[in-house]
Amino acid sequence: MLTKNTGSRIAGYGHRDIITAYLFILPAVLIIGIFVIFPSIKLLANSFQSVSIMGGAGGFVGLENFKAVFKSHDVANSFQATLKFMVTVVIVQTSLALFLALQVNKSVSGIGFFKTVYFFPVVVSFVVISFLWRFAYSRDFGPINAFLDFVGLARQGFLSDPDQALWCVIATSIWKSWAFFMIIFLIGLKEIPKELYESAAIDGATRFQEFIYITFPMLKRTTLFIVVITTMDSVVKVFVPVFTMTGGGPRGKTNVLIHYIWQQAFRLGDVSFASAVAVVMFIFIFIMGIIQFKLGGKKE
Amino acid sequence: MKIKNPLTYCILVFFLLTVLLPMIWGISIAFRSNAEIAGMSGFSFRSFVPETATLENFTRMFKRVNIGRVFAVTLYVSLSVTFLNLIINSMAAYAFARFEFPGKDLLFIVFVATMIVPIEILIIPLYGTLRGFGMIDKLSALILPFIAKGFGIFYLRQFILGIPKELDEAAMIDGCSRLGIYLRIILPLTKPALLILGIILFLEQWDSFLVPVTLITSESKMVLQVAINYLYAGIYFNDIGILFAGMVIAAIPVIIVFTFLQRFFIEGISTSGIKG
Repeated sequence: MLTKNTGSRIAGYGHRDIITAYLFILPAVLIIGIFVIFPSIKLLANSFQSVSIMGGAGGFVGLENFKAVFKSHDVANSFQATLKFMVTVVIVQTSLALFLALQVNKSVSGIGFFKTVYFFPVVVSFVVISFLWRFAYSRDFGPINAFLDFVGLARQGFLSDPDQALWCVIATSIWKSWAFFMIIFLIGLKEIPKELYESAAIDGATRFQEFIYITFPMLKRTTLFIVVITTMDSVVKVFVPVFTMTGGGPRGKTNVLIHYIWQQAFRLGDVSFASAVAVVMFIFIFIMGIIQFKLGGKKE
Repeated sequence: MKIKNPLTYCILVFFLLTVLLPMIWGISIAFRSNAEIAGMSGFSFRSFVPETATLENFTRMFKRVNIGRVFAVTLYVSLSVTFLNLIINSMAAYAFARFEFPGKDLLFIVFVATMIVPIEILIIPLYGTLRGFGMIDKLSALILPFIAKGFGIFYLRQFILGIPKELDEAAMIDGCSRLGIYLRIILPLTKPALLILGIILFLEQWDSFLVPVTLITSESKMVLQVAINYLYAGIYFNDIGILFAGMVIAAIPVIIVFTFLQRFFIEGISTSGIKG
């Protein structure tokens, strides 16, 4: 029996098993190949061609689309909006998430209730959240303007004001997502060995020193992880709030790249130009990720 | 009872209010008549409690969209994507974790690399691919392209690698085939990972907006998030109540399910963070 066992194990890596393995992988290869890898290559190819959404294939145009991208005033404007969005969300949302994780981590009673409620915006869809805020910012019946009026301040345009609209969308975006990152920080906090704090207490460290010398260094990996994800999300996942709250306006001030690309492709039908912008945006996200990993790795 | 950390409580309550007050305001809008909404401008507790609560927004909304069908379509799409993903991803993950075959490492790297291509960008060339298959405005366009995922394969493979290989070998001695091992050993032991992955995938589909709004044009095939956007069209007739009624109907089930299955949700959602 034992010999037979070894025999079958050797046979276990034979021809028949290779075929079995391929059969197990086949469905995934087909789906990912046809619907992810092939389109990705096509996106890249389109960016060097002249194509419209109805498939009217022009020819190879070399770097013409990219030249147009770098010359375009609209792309520069969208890029600026994307950068503002990214930098603000990464800094404000991450700080807020860390700050609240530290509060929630204190074992005060009723903390479960707070955590549950904080998570409501995370589980409700972005479409619903965006419409909620779109009207909450309203000049007439919105509660924010009503409150400003109540305390004697002037009513604001918010989403209709070109100088304020982007900040309003950013605020909504942070309102929806901070609790998610708070939970990730909490997981990081739970992994810090309690002994570190005990020995710090013996040495007479203050709360502030504890944070600077123990908590923050121990959270470095979690923070890096959160910053990398937030960077990518703040570029890519802003489609829904921009689409539903402002449609890119007023005066293009909230037309972040991801929304601009969609508009170019599906509203104006300029697939090759949209593809070129998408390729540039993708390279940008990719480089940001590499820089962050390099910086984060260096500090350790 | 003496409160131990007054400052902490103040901070916690402050953020509780920033989360709850906009939501309560939104729910109150759903129960107000449009005349009342138009007259709102001052700030008091009335900003959060309707003067005369009415269900008329809901009755009008039910007439405007067939909300039952919207839920059915959304459930059909979300469940199909989730279920098929779990099967296809776990099959591939099993092969990557337990077999040796030519091209294994390369294929795995390619699968994992697909994780960094966001759907928001992919949708442009995908539209062309789906049109080629005649799938535009078909529900299959919302399902078929999304039933295998690099992240799912990666996540399940990690989990399967943690299952002792001796179990496979023991089953093989008993004459169990590779398919039998997958069905009777790997799948049952991978249940916790499948559950978490299932929650992630389901939520992702349930909230999906960009893909259906781009690929589907028929009203009869609207999914939930698109239906909310559709109700928004009512704004042109100053019908804000109908939109908020729809939003309440869309949000309440999620909040209720979340409150009861919180542990799985949070575990699932924080796992989804890993995919980046």
